[in-house]
Amino acid sequence: MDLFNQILGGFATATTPHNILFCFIGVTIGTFVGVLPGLGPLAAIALCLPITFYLDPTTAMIMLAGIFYGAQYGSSTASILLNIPGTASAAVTCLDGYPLTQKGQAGVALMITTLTSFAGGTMAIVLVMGLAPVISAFAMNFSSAEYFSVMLLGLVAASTLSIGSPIKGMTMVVAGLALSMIGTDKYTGEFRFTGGILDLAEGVSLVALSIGLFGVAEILSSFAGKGPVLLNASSVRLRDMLPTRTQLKQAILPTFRGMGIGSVIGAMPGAGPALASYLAYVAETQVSKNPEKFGKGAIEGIAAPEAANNASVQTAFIPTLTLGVPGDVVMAVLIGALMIHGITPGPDFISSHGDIFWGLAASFWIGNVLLLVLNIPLIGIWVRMLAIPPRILYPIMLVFVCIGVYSIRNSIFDVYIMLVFGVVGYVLALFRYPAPPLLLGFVLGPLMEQHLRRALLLGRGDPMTFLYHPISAIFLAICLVLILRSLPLGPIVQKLRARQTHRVDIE
Amino acid sequence: MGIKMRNGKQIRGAQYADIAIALVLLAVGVGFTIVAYDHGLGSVRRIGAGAMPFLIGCALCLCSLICLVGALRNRIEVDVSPPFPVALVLIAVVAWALLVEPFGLVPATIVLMLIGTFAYGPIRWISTSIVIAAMCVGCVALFIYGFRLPFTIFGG
Repeated sequence: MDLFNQILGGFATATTPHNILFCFIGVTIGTFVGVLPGLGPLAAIALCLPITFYLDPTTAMIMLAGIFYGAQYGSSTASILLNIPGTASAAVTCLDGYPLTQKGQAGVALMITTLTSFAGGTMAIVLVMGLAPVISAFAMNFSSAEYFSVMLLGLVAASTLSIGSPIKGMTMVVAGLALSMIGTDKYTGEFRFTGGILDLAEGVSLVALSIGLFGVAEILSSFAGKGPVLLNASSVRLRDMLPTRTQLKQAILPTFRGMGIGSVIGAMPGAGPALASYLAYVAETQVSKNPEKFGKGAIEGIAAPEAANNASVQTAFIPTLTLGVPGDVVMAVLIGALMIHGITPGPDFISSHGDIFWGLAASFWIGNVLLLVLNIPLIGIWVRMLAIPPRILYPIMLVFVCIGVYSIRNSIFDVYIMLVFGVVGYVLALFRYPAPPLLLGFVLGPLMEQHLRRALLLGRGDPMTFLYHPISAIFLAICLVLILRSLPLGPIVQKLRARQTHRVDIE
Repeated sequence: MGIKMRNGKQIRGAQYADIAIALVLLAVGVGFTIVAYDHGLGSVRRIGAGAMPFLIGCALCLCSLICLVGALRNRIEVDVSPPFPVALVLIAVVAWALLVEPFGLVPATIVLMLIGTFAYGPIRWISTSIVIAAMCVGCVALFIYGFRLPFTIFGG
């Protein structure tokens, strides 16, 4: 009954006109950046961070979260119509979405993805509401040792489980940790790594760093893209969107499977929506009786990944809000936003800030309904958005970027910091060093140091304290397995094996 | 293989950039570790201000070494933006930063938008003027009157 009352309370918070308005703004911005290729939800959230300082924390979270899941809806649009994924997680949707467009069934594909997105998203919210309080209660017993280990696990998982080179991911995590050490040491008051620059006494600004790495770097790499894409905007009409009964039937089971996979992947630290949609697609090709139709416009091939990525972005809130360990970089920025409001997510978050948690969870539902409205009747507008030329869009973004970064501390220095990290982010992206793990390390660094210090103090200076706590030991063991698995040990192992067989042969 | 520009031209020597990045990261790691050591490691029971950074520095050295080995072994192909527009975008932001405090939000925004638009090719004056005017009005309304940010419209 208690849970029921809390959910009702959440809806009461989420349905105030003020919160609905900001939820609407959030999902609209999300859909917009999702539709536009190259501009991801992270850049948009980073850009909106400064605005949220003027809102109360619940409203701020509702809006920022709306951008995140709204982008998942929008991102499928560009994938289906242009074969260009709006975000990384929608890359899989291109595989069968674009062939459907070529067959003249773009409308149906858009309708199916919107419906499966809605199904995946809303069912995952039930999981968030049911599971988060349980995990929180479990994590209440965590001491600093467990915290340190679970954060370490989050970082290791983020760098090794994501798509791309694990070692480059890990390098970026460590670089992020290093950056987070810049500034005043909380315990001793010493200035660390500031190089005598007073502006760095408070550390590198999270907003300047994230806008630089994602917003500015995105603009800098926009020149390398292909030429402008031309599209007949009137090609998608509402009446072309209605799927046949067979098509709907084809979509149902894949939606459920995608939802299941997405929910599990989303709740794991480090594995984002891109991995969720990819795995859901692979699973569909495995269970399908005629796998040869994938890649040629299979309904299953768009239903499963879309359900999966939308489920995963909802369940990603579970570790973020219950443990304070962000599953991916967007969550890290959301934690940053909460911390700016003086709230540190952790096991006591639901009990001490229940209003924010339940309001946010309830707003997910409202947001998903709003997205349904935004994406079905208004699809034509989003399709037309694809026609905004970069020479208009990107200079406008630059202005917002500058104002946003400057306004946080009224500091020109921060604008230069943003520019530096823009260049750094651009160069890193060129050579496939993923920037998201860097930001994750940056956000978790100070928390990890704090727990490391506390754990060692409580453990009377015995580093083995991390192994004496069983839960902490399990987390560390998983870390070790993940690291060993990702190291380029393949050739060495092969050599050893070859030598062994050689020896056996001699004997 | 190596670095390829949009027009398919190869930049000479640039295929070593991947190696250079790993080397830079390694240098940063070494420097970071040394500075961290100077901050004092403390005792295990009460670790000093330099302890955690020292660990991080060592980890950074190790990771960048592995990256270096990877970079030496296989080259990757990258799609580089042409340098001129990239430089223009950077100049546009620097111009904004230099102008906004002494001259106000509107002049800074106009200059940024002009340079930024030029980065994407020749400026089409009519459409660009409309967009810039709309942006100036919008920004003043939203940020100065809406969020009451401490910008001046014109002048310092």
